[in-house]
Formats: sequence, structure tokens, C-alpha cells
Amino acid sequence: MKKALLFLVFSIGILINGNTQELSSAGMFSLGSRSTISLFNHYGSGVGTGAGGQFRIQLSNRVNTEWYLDYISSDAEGIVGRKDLHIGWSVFYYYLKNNSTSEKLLQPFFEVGHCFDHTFVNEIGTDNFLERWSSAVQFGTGISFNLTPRLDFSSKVQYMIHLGSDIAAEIDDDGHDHHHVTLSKNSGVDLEGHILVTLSMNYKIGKLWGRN
Amino acid sequence: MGKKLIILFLLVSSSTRLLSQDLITRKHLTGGSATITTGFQKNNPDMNLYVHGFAYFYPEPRVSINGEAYWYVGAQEQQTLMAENSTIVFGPNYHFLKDGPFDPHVGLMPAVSLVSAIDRSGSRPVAGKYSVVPLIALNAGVRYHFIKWFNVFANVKYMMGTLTENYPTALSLNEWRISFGLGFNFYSSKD
Repeated sequence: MKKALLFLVFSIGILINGNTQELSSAGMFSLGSRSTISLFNHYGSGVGTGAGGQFRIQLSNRVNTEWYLDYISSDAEGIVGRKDLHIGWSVFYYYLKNNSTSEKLLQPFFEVGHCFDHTFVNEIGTDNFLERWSSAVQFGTGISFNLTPRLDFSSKVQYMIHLGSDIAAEIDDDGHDHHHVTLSKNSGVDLEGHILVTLSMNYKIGKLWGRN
Repeated sequence: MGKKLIILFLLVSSSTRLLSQDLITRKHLTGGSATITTGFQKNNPDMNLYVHGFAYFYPEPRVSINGEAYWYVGAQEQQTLMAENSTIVFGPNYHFLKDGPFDPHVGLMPAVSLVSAIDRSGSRPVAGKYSVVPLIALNAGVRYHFIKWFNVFANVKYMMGTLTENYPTALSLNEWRISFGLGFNFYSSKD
């Protein structure tokens, strides 16, 4: 109960702070939703789609942090399914000094980060599946379009490299339209990766610290 | 008789006053509605039907935060691929015009569906187990706030996602969802 009260007071504080002060960057707390497109996996998965959300805490005018959750689903040739759950964080660096505030229309950035990843790979229509937990690092670039000083649409491209054991899927075709799928877990470090395109909308709620 | 007339007069005059109020600003506007929504999938010969409820809040006139739920209630001809396809959607919309009654908007929102697809390849249709599937929702819509408390709306969503389990093959869940109806503005700022 006390925790709930503290959280309520904290939230109201953020909202009041956010609504009464003009925007400046450091300490800004944003909340957003994201849609992710996974362009490929190394064994030939098709385009995957994902849903998720994030919050951002800006550390300074040019450095922002993002804390996110993604759930992505994809398939390879309609035979192998794959689901990835990513929980992680990223650091943004706004590399143009003159475009580092949300008053500007465009804010390009570089990004690096890390996440924990749960992967589930299955032969579709059967009980044949494998799953694993691993860790991943990602790096990329993107741009935020500030539709209003508080609302931005961010588009970014990242390459995500999974660190740890990999799940491999081999599809064998017997020539008579029958497929055989072999799933295997490879031990050791395999720099398996995929390209992720993330489109998100974020709303700046208020400042966690600092004044204008 | 006199009391009835007075009550009738008060009711008419208060409702007239309510109906003549215009929406001054969309800042802090809060509202929602429910309607019947139709869904069209390329690989599905039938039309899906949903009870669609939603709520919105505008922190500023050009931005609204939206939560929506689509409760799958079946299909028009009962020949659908889907035994279950209910969805929740959450995210912001960007509104092109700052204020005024005409309110076109677009959004990109994540969505999650609870899905069970019907396999009709055997002698009898078999509904698969439930799966939770992430989707991307592209949203475009328009509201017309003809008075302060009401609006008419039309909305189109394109949902994108794939079912990769509990069905013989990967199944595209891409779908157009079209809805329209009467919306209710519960609260609006006087500023």
C-alpha cells in the first residue's frame, strides 16, 4: 500500500512538473509504444513483426537512454516459426549539436545497447521446438521526428548480435513436397544476428529532475 | 400538470444548452465509444466481426493516447479461418489540425492478438490452441466533433502479423479493420 502511494505521488509529481515547466532535455521522462520489423535471421526467416513499448530517461541534452520490451514473431518458408522476446536498454547520442533538443523537427542519433533475449523456434504444425535464453548487443542509427515538442516519431535501424548458444533450423525437402526440419542448439558463442527496424511514438511526460 | 410542464421545460432547455455547446479545444479531451467493426483478411473468405471498444485522451490538441480492444464475435457466414482473433491495441495518434471540429489523425501502434485458427484441411474443422501474437497496427481515422460532447468517427486499421504455432503452416494475420460510429467526449478543457 505504501509503495502504491509513493508511486502515485511520484507519478503526480512528474505530471505536475511536466505540465508547468517549459521543456528542457536533461531528466526528461518519455513513454512510448513501438512496432518492430525483423528483416532477417541467419537461417532465412522472413520478415517478422513485433510489438512492444519503452520508456526513455534523458541524461543530458545529447544523451538519452531507452528501456524497452519487444515481442517479435517471424517464420521461414511457412515451415519454421520463431519468436523473440527482447528486454533491454540503449543509449542514444544525438550527434548534431544544433539538433539536440525536441524543439527541432529532426533529431538524428546513434545508438548502442544490450538486451536479454528469449528465443523460441518451432517446426510449425508439430510439437518439435527448441528455446533458449541469451544476451544480445545492438547498435544502429535513427532519427526522431518531433511532431510536437512533446511527441516524437522515431525510426531506427539496428543490427542485433546474439551472444551465446544459437538455435539452428535446417529444412530438408524430399522432393515430394514433404519437409523435414532439424532443430539443434549450438553451444558456444555464435554471432548470430538480425536487422531490426523499429518505429515508435514517444510522449514526453515530464522531468524527473532538474529545472529549466 | 404544472410540475410536469416545468420539468419538461427544464429538460428541454438544458438539453438544448448541451447540444449547442461547441468544442473549444481538444486539449485534455477524454472520450471513447464502442461499435461493431468488420475485418477483412486476404486468405479468409469470410468477414470477421468484432465488438470494438476504445478510449482516448488528448494531452495536447495534436496528440491523443489511445487504448482499444477488439472482441472477436465470429464471422458473417461462419466459414471463417478464425475461432478467436481478439486484439488489444495501445498507442498515440498524431492529429493534423490543432483544433476545430474536423479531426483527421494517423498512428502507428503495437497490438497483441489472442488467436486460434481453424484448420479445415481434414474431414472436420479443428480449432487450434490459443496463441498470443504480436502485430503492428497502422491507423488512419477522422473524427468530426459536431458538438462538445459528441463526435462521429470513421477509422481504418491495417494489422500485420503472423501466426507461427498451433496451425499446420504459418498463417498471415494481416487484416483491414474498418469501423465507424458515434463517439462520446466525456471531458474537455475550457482553456
